Amino acid sequence: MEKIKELLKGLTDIIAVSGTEKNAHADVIALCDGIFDETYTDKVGNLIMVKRSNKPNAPRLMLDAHLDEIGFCVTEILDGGFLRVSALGGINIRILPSSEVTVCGKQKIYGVFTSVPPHLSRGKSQKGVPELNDLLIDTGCSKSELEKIVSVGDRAVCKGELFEMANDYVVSKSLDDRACACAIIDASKNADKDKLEFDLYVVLSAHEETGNMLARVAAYDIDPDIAIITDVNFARANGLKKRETIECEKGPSVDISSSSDRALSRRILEIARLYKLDCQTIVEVSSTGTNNERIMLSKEGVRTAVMSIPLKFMHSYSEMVNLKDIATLSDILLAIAYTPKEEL
Amino acid sequence: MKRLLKRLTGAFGPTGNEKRVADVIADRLGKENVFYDKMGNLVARISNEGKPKLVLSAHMDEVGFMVTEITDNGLIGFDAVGGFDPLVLLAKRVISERGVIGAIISKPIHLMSEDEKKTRTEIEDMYIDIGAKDRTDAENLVSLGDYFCFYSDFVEFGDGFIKAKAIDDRGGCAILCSVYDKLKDKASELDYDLYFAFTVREETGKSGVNYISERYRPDYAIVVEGTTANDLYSTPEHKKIARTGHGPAMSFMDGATIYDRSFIRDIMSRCDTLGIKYQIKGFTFAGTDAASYQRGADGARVAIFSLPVRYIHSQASVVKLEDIESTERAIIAAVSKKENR
Repeated sequence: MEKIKELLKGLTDIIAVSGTEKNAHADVIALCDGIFDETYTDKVGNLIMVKRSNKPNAPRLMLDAHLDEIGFCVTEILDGGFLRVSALGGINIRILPSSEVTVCGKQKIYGVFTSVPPHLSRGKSQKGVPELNDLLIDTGCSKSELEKIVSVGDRAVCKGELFEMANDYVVSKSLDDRACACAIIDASKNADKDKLEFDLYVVLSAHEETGNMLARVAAYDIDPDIAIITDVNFARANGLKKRETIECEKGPSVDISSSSDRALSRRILEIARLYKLDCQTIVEVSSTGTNNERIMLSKEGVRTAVMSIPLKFMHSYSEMVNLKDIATLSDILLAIAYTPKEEL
Repeated sequence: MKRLLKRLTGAFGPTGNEKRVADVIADRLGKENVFYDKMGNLVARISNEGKPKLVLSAHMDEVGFMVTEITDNGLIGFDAVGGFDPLVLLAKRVISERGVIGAIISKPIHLMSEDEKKTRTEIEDMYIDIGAKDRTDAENLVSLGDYFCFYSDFVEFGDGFIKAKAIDDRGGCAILCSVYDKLKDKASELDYDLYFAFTVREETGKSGVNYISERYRPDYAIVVEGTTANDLYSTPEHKKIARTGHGPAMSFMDGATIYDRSFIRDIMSRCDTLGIKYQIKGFTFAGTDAASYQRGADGARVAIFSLPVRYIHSQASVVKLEDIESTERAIIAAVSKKENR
């Protein structure tokens, strides 16, 4: 568990707001030192890392997790060292006042989202939620100094360092989807080349959070026999419906959906049972809301399954995940990779 | 000063639980030089028998949270200790008096209805998640009544700014510690018999100052506080309250006190002579500990130095180091004899 935590800490420390994934590739590759046989980046910013089976001409298993995270794009540099920003991905504005950010200019600088103290809001209507336009990032720099470092179009992201909590839970920014990236890298690391029935194609894909889902480009290039899309899903919590959530500490989930391969999904559940690994299901009727919907349509179609790690408080910089669920996903993925293609 | 401020803002001390802050201050001033009263206030003195008594006062407590509920699924319900805009709470990391780390959560944005998206989440609908499995597990780590405070580090950034939790009023505590160090061997150069009061329970209005007034019967009191700096890009001039980089803010009046004019004028003229920066604060609703000094026991003539703090009462309060230094100089000018200022 300690090794997984270490890898996850490394991955969540990386900043890769949608559209700037390439800037993060070197750091990811450094974290994966010695695990893969080949590593390359495609034209659109997907990072592809390959671990080959010792079997010649092995079929290709694509393991996808998106590398990008939600964040902000600087739209205006204002007097007094304030920045106006727009959102990249589904930003929850109600968590932003007084949040801390890293602005990725020529160098990384620190900033704080403005907030109103209770002494001033008193007496006014306190019902609404502010617009992103009303919030500014305070950099503490003068405008002229700031203009030397930051340009319009630069990205910013909320800070949220990984900390361990009780019972192997961790809290961090960007666990969506670094938790899954951690699982597929860990599975690759543990993979015994003699046992691998597939060449493993780990894809850390670009532009998921903005809906462009460039993982399809990687799928087109790899042309996998099977693709498993890994992304986080909502953890069960107060006020959330049972049918739209999965439970923490019960292992990853397999999506049962009209848009993924039913036989493959069932088979994964059987394999998990066989290896006595915790696995749950969630029904996503017509769409899984992941890269799956693009990858399955690549070329003449791809057999896909969607696996998820339960995540609390999605799209905040205090997302929470249980390390055991990451470890179990890693184990199940490995079990799949050790299963002959014909049996899947 | 920075190191002291880092240590003080890092100390755990929501209202009613100030002991750890007091211990940092006692350690800094020397245990033999301080006195803990039975309410938890800490007092030091630079004795000058026969001179008028002047108290320099800063409060040790910070805004925080207290556990009011533990749910069946192991979440921690809480209420605010002190004033918050609920908007600054969601997703923030918090730590308990026993060192349990968690974060304040609510529903993820994807699963909110359109109506929910437009509505502010109130504190009673927020929970602290510490990673507990269920009630029993949570009860092993947290008890009803336990305190939590923000888990927030000390960061220097921009043009001489510092971000930390609890700058209100550890900034004042740090300034008083530093003034004490600088003046403790110079009693003969002072106009006053000087007391340094580090007080409890300001943020909930149950001020520890009453006990200081009762015990020491000061003639004068200068309160050193954190105040709202609303000098943000889009704020109209008249709503900025106080500005960073303009020195401590002096008030003629606030929500609870009309300050002593001749005392304020005397301090201002001392600052003017020495070219020390200060500003006049715009009127706000809030009151300060000065009210307790003015009304307490047989009364006192009061003035205030407010440190301009952006995003006060949040995990990321921001202060300009230069303002801390100006405040320290202004205090020394206010209490020193003319020839020694």
